[in-house]
Amino acid sequence: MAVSGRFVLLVALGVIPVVLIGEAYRQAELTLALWLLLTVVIGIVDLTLAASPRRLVVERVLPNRVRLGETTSSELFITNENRRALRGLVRDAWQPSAGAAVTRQSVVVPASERRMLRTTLTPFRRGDRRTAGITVRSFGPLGLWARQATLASPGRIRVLPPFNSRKHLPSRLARLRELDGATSVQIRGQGTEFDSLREYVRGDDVRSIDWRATARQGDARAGHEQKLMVRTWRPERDRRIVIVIDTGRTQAARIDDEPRIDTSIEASLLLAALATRAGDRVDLIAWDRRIRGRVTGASGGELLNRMVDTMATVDPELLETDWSSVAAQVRAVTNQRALVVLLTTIDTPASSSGLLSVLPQLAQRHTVLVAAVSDPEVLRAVSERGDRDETYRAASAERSLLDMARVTAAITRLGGDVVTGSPSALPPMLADRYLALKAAGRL
Amino acid sequence: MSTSTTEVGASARAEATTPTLRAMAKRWRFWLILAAIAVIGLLIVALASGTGGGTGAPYSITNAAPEGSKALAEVLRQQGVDVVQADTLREARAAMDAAPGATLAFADPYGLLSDKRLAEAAELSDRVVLFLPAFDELRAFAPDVSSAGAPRDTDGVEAECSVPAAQRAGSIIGGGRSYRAPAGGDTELCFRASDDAFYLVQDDTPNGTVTVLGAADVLSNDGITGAGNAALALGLLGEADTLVWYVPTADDVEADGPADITSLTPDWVTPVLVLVVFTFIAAAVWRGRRLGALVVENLPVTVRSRETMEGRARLYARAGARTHALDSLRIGTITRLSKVLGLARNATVDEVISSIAAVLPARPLGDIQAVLVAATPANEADLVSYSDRLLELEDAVTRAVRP
Repeated sequence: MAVSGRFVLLVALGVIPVVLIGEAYRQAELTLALWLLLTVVIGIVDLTLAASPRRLVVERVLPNRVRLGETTSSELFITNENRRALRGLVRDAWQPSAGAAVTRQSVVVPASERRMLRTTLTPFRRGDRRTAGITVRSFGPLGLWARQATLASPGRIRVLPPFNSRKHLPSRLARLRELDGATSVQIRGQGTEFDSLREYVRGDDVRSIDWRATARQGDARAGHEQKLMVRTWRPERDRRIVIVIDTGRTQAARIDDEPRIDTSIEASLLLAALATRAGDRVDLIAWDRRIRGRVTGASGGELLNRMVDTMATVDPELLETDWSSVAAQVRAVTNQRALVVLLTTIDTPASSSGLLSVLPQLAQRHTVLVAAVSDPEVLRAVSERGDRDETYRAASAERSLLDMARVTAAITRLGGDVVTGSPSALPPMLADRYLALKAAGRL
Repeated sequence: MSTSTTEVGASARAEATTPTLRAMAKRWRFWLILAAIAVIGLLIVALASGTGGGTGAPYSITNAAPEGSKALAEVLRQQGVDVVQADTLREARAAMDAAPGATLAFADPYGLLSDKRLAEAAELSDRVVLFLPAFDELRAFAPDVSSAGAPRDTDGVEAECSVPAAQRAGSIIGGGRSYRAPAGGDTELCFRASDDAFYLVQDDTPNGTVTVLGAADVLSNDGITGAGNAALALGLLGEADTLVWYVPTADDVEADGPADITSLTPDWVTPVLVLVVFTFIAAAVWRGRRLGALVVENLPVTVRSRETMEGRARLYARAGARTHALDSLRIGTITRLSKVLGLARNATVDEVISSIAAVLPARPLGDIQAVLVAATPANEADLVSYSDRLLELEDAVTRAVRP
């Protein structure tokens, strides 16, 4: 049960009869009692005439998935099964981070009819955003008292990682096409494999002419014109890439108002989008002490879909990552030689000792690339030395950079490769490093 | 990345999570029954003890409690005496006017009446019975009689006088107050409490016969059954056909000085204030009723990445680790300079210094050495100046190498 502002006003209006009758007939107390009784009686009558908020059919139409930062709309259909019209207020109980523009809407549904309520959602957090149900407040014809009930009508919308780094994809794909045989590249080198033989056109490198094929093709006695054949090469395909995203406690830190894990997801998405176009097979593991998410055996658009879907609900756990089992996890994904990309944090030698201990094991079988987010504020702090406090901060920042440099050196010594960058720079840097490795044939 | 559309929810009626009134009553049934039992029990107890809503005051003929006088009044009524209760002087006067010659029973245990009103009350009847009067009342009704203190309770005090009612009563149970009066004349002294103090004094005054009764038990429901108490009371009060029982109440108090606020304000003010309270309650219900339960959301942990760096800086500052801080800055500068100068990563400090000296020939070697290695900051101003010189050196080398 609920009352409206109109009812409060009605009670307050009692001041008129109380004063008038009190002045004229000296019956103010009696008038007050009668007025209060009257308001309550009218309220009860109004309540009994209100439509039942329980006799409703509620249906939802929701988009399954939405990318973070995009706006979508949720449609709620309410069918009135009462014999009276429903006049009321409906609240859709979305979680705050679902970013509903309005949570309560007034609605009039005539008896046995259906109305739609549209809510605009702009979620501002990754993951599953839910609503448990709706609350309906049904007013009587006078709008004084209302019946209220909460109806279960669960809804869920999966908010995917934004993949803002996809803006870097076209330029990297162009570079990939250069590497690939699509553009005429006839440089033979490591990491390329024989693609095809074709006829020489002007501009081709004369060193790539395959004389033996030219001789085989050219049959002067048949009257054919002698054609020069060139060999084309393309980068090796069907390499394996295993992306391991660390979901431990260090990934919860916010850098440039973005948690490290979000940057890791962005970087892995860009890398996967690029690698799957390059014909490589990408697998993903989100790991701290157990597997939080895994995508294997997908390629193309399916791969990205599954990756965003898997990573949407993964949040950093307040645990120390167990690096000792990572090698086994990678082995479970593939036995072939692969590029293992570890998206984690390298802060100090002490906190990275787990990572360092597993590196030799991984580097023995695979090419290991460690990608970590670095804090641009630390770099900024190094050169700010205005006063005493800032100087000490600069010293402390130098110390952190030194620590990172030591970890980087240790990783390099153990056979890994390191990419560090600010949140906005890391995804393209990782993609560039992948292209460089591919060009160098180190995959 | 398609955003496919799904329809969630069947076309069946939505299940309500809010319990119905009936379900609520079922859940709270035990407590509701308990509350009902408590209320009914309280009502029964109140009815049993109150019986008729007595006033609780002594000498009240509607009070059935031990200290009241309802028993006496009821017995008088059974005897055919018309007992009229008067709460104010006006009522008492009206009752006396309606039945001239009636007996006036008067008690003012709280001393509510002013002297003027007491004098008026004294003129109401020519047969007055005073119950345990105090000084003011004695002066108004029977100036000859004076108070003689409160004697000890005693059983069976003999009458020893010629008042008919006292003689009929024989003896009473003492207690209350005693009075004395000059002997002789029209004054009758009965029920001796001590040497010259008596429980009952009857005096003829210009206004009529005034009987001063000091024995409290004679009137009370509790003590009326003792000895000749009842006979005395009935004899004193039942002489006339009508008995006006006047016990002043607060309404008798005269309003002195300026008129008080209640008499000046219109009588609708209080109801309007009550209405304001009800409006407030209604508004509280209006604004306070939630539209469904709060929604729970798990919030992510927020870890600021700068925290370690800031914490370590504060530790340096608090410990005054100037040399340590400066060394960190120097290592950073040397690392960057060796990269700028194109030296190997494992180049020693001396190699770096000699390279710098080669790049900046104008600068004395000792100066470079002091800034990069040797000097120890004596205080924090030193630290800041050395750090500035490091930056300056870095800048100079970078400019010299990459013009």
